Amino acid sequence: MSQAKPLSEQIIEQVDTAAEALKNINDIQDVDIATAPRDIVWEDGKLKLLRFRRETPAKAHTPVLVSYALVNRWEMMDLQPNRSFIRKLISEGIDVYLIDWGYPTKIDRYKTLEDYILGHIDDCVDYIRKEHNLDKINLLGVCQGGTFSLIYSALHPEKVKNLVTLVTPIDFDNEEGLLFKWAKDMDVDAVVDGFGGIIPGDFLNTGFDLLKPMNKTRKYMALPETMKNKATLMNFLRMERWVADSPAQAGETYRRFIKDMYQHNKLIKGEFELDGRKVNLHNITMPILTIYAKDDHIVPPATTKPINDLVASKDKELMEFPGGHIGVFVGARSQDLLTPAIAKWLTVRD
Amino acid sequence: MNNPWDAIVENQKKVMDFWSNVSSQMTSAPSGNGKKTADSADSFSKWMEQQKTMWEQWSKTAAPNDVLAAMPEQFRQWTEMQQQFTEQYMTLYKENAAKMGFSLSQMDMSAFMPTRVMEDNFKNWKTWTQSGDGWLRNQMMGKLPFNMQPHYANFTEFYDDVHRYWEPFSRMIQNGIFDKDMVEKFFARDAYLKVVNQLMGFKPVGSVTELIDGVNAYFEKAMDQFGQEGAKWQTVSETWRSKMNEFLGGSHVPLLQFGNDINNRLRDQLTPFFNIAAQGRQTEISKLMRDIQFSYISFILKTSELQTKVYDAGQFVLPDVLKDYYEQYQGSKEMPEFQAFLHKYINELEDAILTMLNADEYSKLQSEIAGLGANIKKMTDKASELVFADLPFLTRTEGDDFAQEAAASRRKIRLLEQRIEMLERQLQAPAEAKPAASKAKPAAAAKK
Repeated sequence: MSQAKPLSEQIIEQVDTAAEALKNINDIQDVDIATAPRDIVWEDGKLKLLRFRRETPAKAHTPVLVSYALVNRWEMMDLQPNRSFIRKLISEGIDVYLIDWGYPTKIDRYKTLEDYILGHIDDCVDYIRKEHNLDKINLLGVCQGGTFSLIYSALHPEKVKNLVTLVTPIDFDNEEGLLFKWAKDMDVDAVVDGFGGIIPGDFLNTGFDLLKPMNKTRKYMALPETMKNKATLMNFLRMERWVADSPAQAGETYRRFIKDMYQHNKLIKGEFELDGRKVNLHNITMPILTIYAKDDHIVPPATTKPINDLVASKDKELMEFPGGHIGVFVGARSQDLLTPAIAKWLTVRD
Repeated sequence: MNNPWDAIVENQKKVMDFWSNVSSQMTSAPSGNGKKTADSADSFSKWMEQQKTMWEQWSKTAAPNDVLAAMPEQFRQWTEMQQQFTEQYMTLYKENAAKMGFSLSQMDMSAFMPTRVMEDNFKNWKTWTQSGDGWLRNQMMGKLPFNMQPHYANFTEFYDDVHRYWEPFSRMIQNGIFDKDMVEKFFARDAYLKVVNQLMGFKPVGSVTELIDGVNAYFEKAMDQFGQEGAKWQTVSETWRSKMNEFLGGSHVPLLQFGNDINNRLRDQLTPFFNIAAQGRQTEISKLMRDIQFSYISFILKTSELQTKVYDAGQFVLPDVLKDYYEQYQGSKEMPEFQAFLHKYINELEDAILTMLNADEYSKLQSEIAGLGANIKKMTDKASELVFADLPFLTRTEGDDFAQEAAASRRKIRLLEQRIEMLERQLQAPAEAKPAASKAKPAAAAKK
C-alpha cells in the first residue's frame, strides 16, 4: 500500500504534471495517422488499392498484398511513424500493397462475401500480378481479412505464393472469447434487417468495449501521466482517433459471416461455400505463416492455432508474439520482433 | 467568472488580500523585544513584489490560452514560492507573535491558527487546480474525436463523483466499516447505480412502471393523431387528410401543395376499395404502432432486467475492497491513495461484471434486447415510410431496390469478367504457341 505523500510534495507533483500537460496539449494542433507515403493504384467503387512508396528498391521480388478486416480501419497498421507495421515492412525490403475497403453505405447492404473475396481481393491480386508480371503474389491477412485470405487461397492457390495470417480466427466453435460466445446467441437476422441492412460501426464498437468494460476508465485515469509526455499523449490521441473511426458493415456480408463462421463454424468443417464452390482448406499448399497474439481477447489464440493443422502446406510455421489484438501491431515490441520476423519469412521464400 | 483564467486570478487576489491584511497587522504591531519583524517584513515584501510582478505580467496578456500555454514554468515557480512563504510565515508567527505583544482583538484569530491558515491555502490551491483541471479537460475534450467525447465526459463525471466519496471511504477503511448495509448508508444504491451507468455507458431505465406508463400514454396520444385501429374508416381517412394538410399546409411550394391536394383527392376516391380489403395504409400504420408499442415495452423490461444483472454482479465489490484495505490498514496503519483505491475498485468491479457477462443467461438476454431494439427500428422505419409514401422522398425500401440492382450488377460483371478471362486464356493458348512457330519462320525463309 502506497502511503499518502505530504501536501507540499503532492502540490509540486501536481504542478509538474499540470505544467507539462498544459504545454503538451496546447502544442497539439492536428492528430495525424497513417502518414506513410502511398498512391492509389487501382479503384473500384469505394475500394482502393494502395501501394506504399519505397525510397529504395525492394529486396524481395514478390510484393505482398495486405487484406485488413472489414471491422475498423487499416490505419492501425500505420498509426504513427515510429509505430508503423507498414513502414517497418517497407524498411525490411518488402513491396507493400494494401486493400482499403472504404466505408460501406446503404447501397452496399447486399454486398456479399463473394463480392469481397472473389471480386475485390481477386481483382487486387490480378492487378498486382499483371503489374509485376508474376503468376503468384504474397498475401497477408489481418483478423477477418486473414479469414478472407485463407478462403481466397483455398479457391485460388495458383495465385498465392506465400500466405501470412495475423490474429486470424478460423475455429469459431470456441468459448474462450466472449465475442464468440455472444455471436452464437445473436439473432443476426433481426439485427441486420433492423438496421436496414447496414450495421453501424458504433454498434460493433459497443460490443468490443463490453469485452473489457473498464478499459476506457483505466485509459482515462492514466491521462494525467499520459499528458506529461507529448509523444505518449499523441499516441493516445491517435489511438482514440483510430478507435472512433469505425466503418459500417455491409449487412449481407455481416449476416453470412456471423452465421456461417461464428454460429456454424462451416469453414473448419469443410461446409463453407462461395459462389457455389466448396472451400476446401486442404487446397492450401503454399507456405503459410500463422501468427497469433499471446493476450488477444478479441481473437484468442485457441481460435487461430488450428490453421496450420487444417491446411495441406508442408512449409508451415506458427509464431506467438506478445501483446493483444491491437497491441501486437502498435506495441514497441512489434517493431522489433513481429515485422522483421514476417519480412524474413517472406524473403527466405521469395 | 467567464473562464478558468478569471477563476484563477480571482482566487489569487483573495489569498493575497488575506496575506496582506494579516501581514500589515503583524508588522505594525509593537515589538516586544526589539528583535521585531524586520526580516520577516522584508521577506513578505519581497514575496509580495514577486507575486505582483508575476500576476501583472500574466494579467496583461489578452488571451487566456496564451497565458496558460506560456505559464508552466512560471506556475511552478509561483507554487514553490507560495509554499516556501507559507512555511516561513508560519515559523515567523510561532516565534514572534507572543513576543510582539500582538493585539489579539485586532483580528480574527481563527485565521491565524496554523491549521486554518493551511486549510485556507489548501482550499485556494484546490480551487486553482480545479480551475486548471477544468481547463485541461476542455482542452482534452476538444482534441478527441466527437464520438469519443461522450465516453470522456462520462469518465470525468464518474471520477468527480467517486472522488466526493473518498473522505467517507477513508473513514470506513480506518474504522473497519465494510458491511454492505453500512456501506450503503454512505454510498447509497442510487450513487452506486450512477457509477455503474457511467462506467458501462448505460442509459438507465429507472422506474419501469413509470416508464411503461409514459410509453403507453405517448402511444395512445400518437394513435389518436392517426385514428384508432377499428375506428370508423371515414374518420380515419378524414383524420389522415387533415393531418397531412396540417403537415404540408404551411408549405410555400405551390407544386407540393398541389401534389398533396391531388393525393388527398385520390386517396378519398380509393379509400372505400382499400377498406373493403381492410388493408388501407392507415390501418397498416395503426397496426404497426401497436406492435411498436408492445415491442418497446418488452424492450424496456428486458433492458431493465439486463441492467439489474449488471448492478447485482458488482454490488459486493465496494464492501470487499473496503474490507481488504481495512485489513491492510490494521497492519501498516497507512492509508491508500485515492488513485490506488479507485484502480483496485474498477479492476475488481470488472472481474465481477465479466463473470456475469460470460453467463449463458446474459448472452441470451443481450441477444434478445439487440433483436428487439433492431426490430423496433425496422417497424418505426416502415411506419415512417407509410406516413410519407405520397411525398416526393426516396424511401428506404426504394433505396433498397437500388442496392439490390447494384448487387445484381456486381454479380453479373464478375461473371462476365470470369468469362472474358477464360476466353482470353483460350485465345492465349494457341497464341503462346505461335512465337515458337514464328521463330522458325525466318530460318525457313532463309533457307528459301
